[in-house]
Amino acid sequence: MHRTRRVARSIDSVGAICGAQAPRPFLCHVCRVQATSFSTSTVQSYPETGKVPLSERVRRRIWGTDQPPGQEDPYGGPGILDQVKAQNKAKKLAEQKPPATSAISATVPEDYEPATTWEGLERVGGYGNWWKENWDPRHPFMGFLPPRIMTDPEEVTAALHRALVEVFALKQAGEPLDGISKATPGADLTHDVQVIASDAGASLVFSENATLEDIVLSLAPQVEEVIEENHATESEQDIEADRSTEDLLHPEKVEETVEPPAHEPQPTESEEDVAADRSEEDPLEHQAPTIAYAELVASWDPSWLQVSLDDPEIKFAVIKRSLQLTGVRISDTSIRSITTAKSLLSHLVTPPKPRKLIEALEQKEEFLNLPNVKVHAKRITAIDKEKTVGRWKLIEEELENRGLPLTGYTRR
Amino acid sequence: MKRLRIERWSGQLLTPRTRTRTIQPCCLRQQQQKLASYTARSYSSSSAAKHPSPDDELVFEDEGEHPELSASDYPSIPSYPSPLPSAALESAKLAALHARLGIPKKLPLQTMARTLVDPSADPHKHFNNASLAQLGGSIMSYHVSEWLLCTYPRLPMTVLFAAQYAYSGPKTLQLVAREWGVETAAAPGEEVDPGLLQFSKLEPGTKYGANREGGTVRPDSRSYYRRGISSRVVYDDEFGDAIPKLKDQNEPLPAELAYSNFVKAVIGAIYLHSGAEPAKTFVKRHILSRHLAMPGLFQFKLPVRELSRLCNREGFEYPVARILSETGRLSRHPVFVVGIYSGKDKLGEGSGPSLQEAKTRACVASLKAWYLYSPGKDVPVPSDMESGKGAGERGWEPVHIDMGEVIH
Repeated sequence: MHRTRRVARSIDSVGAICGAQAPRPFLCHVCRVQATSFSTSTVQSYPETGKVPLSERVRRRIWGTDQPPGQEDPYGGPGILDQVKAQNKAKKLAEQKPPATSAISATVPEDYEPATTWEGLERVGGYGNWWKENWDPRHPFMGFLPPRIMTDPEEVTAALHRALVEVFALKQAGEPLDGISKATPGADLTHDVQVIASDAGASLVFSENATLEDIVLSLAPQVEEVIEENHATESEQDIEADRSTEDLLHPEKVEETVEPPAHEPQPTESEEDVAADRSEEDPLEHQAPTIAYAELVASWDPSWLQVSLDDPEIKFAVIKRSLQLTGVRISDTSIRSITTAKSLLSHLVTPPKPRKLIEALEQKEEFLNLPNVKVHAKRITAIDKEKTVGRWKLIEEELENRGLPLTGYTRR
Repeated sequence: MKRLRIERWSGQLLTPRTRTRTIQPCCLRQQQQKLASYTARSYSSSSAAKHPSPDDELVFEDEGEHPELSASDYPSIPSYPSPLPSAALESAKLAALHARLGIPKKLPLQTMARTLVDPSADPHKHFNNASLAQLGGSIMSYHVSEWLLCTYPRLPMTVLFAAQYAYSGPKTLQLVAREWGVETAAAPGEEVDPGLLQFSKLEPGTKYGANREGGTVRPDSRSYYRRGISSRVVYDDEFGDAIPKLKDQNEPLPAELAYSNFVKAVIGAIYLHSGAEPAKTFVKRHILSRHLAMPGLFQFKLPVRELSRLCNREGFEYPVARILSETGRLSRHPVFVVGIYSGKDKLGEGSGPSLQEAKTRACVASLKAWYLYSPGKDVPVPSDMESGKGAGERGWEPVHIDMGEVIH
């Protein structure tokens, strides 16, 4: 351990700073005297003042010369380890850096004057027009989850049934299961399909409305076509633009063309189909409320809830598809415990966490059904208590007689 | 025996709420009183015009038969003087009270709410408890008096009145209702919780019935008539107190009266909805189960003379007082124990610091022993024959009722 130099006290530096500045500021006598007398260390300033410390004088006397050999100050300065480190660092720097002339200093023009105000300076940084240029209102972000999270238990049940049917249809067709969620959900073809639990997971009973091919075709991703369109040739783009109802010059008129006014005569079926194909809105969103999910769920054989989800591939595909259809997230820990479609359904239809106590009580309905318990949605104030015993009308009358405010403050 | 038509009685609970502004008599007794007052006053020319004829105030139970009395003829009332019957279903206090009392489910919460509305809060007789209280009070006093008479057959009439008052008087009923957890509303109104007892409270410092005039219903209302015990049995109420002739039902009343009316109304409602047997059981459980120190009710002016008259009447030998033991006759605190003997039978004994005192106490003890004779706690009462388990199985054995106190 090398000896470290004593750090000069802060109070000592006051004098040094004062001495260094040309116009010497006023420092009172007491401060100056106190500062020097307070110091406990000798300031090593003999190069400036010419004062030689005692150790140096002794060395000179011993060696007999004014320049004795050896270290200049053997009792101060950095330690040997630090010296070695500093030497190594300097060597490395010397090896890495070629002697370069400063490019900045070279390009500084002769007539450069530093600005004193920010007026007229170029602004650098910030978002600027980034949002305007990059945010296209006609192509909003479409996430994986649907914009509306299903809460109706029957609707969620139907969505889970659909996910099951589609997953097992893909499996039956020999398609890879990981492509289940690639297509955005279209029309539901699985209403008439019965799922029957079997040894190999489940077997599907199709109807004439929806065959296996239809369902597998509906799951084929149209994403590739979109990609192709993006990379289409210019002529194709032109044709596409001609076909599309969007007016590229007036994009704000899109809504009018997509939704025909009410007074117009009903378009023919082919026109409707074309419009539906061209419009970007999901037709399901408008049809959804018309479906009676309760009857639909009742029409299925209840054994479909017993379908095993032990196969992790199937389980993952079903959960992914149901997440895409319903928007209900399931935690990883509960995914582990899910073994059948029924247990998955129980996680899906779990009501959302209540935000108020009254909502929690309404979900349980234990307290609300008790005749001797009254649950209030709002806080019971002192006025409510007085009203319950019938005293408030008397208080009100007395307060009005005396011209006093009813609720603690006067209304102006 | 004419059958009681309970459904007709309780039918007024189900009538639509049509309020009339006229103040109607809220119970039978008041109706009679009012009629009596009209006939009495119709002779005076000054006050005849003030009072409408009683026919105008008739309220028909079936509103459909009298279209001229439809609700639209009366000015609409913004707020009702008592909570609506529908509010009874939402009151936690009321449901808790109903469950706490173990009242049968047949008694609906709406009726339970009605028992808590005093005529001073809601003068309309379809919505206050006056009729129920009148009925329930009669049932309760009947059961209490028959139980007292059969259990203590030799009670003097005054002691019987006092015991009746102690069992079913307003003060006791107030205690009972408070033990049930019934609280009073500060002021009656529509917004009040139906589980609270609603009545117009008497102002502090005012006397109940102070501004009432008309005296009592007794025919001998003159002050110089002697109000004997026998006439009390005939003319006065079950406690031997005179019944006031006129009573304004809107008059504020003390809390004990309102509480007692409520308890009576509960009994009446149980009688109407569940029958006589549950009402009797309710009275037994809540009223007759209370302990009353009967010996404390007695007060004798001349016990020695009364005992000798009693022995004379009953054909016993003349009672003789004998010293049984004594101690410290010459000391500051002597104690003498004296026994009263009728022939060889000891009627009673008492102790006192002097011979006279001990003799008087011994006489009082013998008199109490005579008057407080009881065949047992589970004496059959007449109402047992009407309903219950043993009704009709075995014939009625007449209970022993003594000729009563010694009149000397």
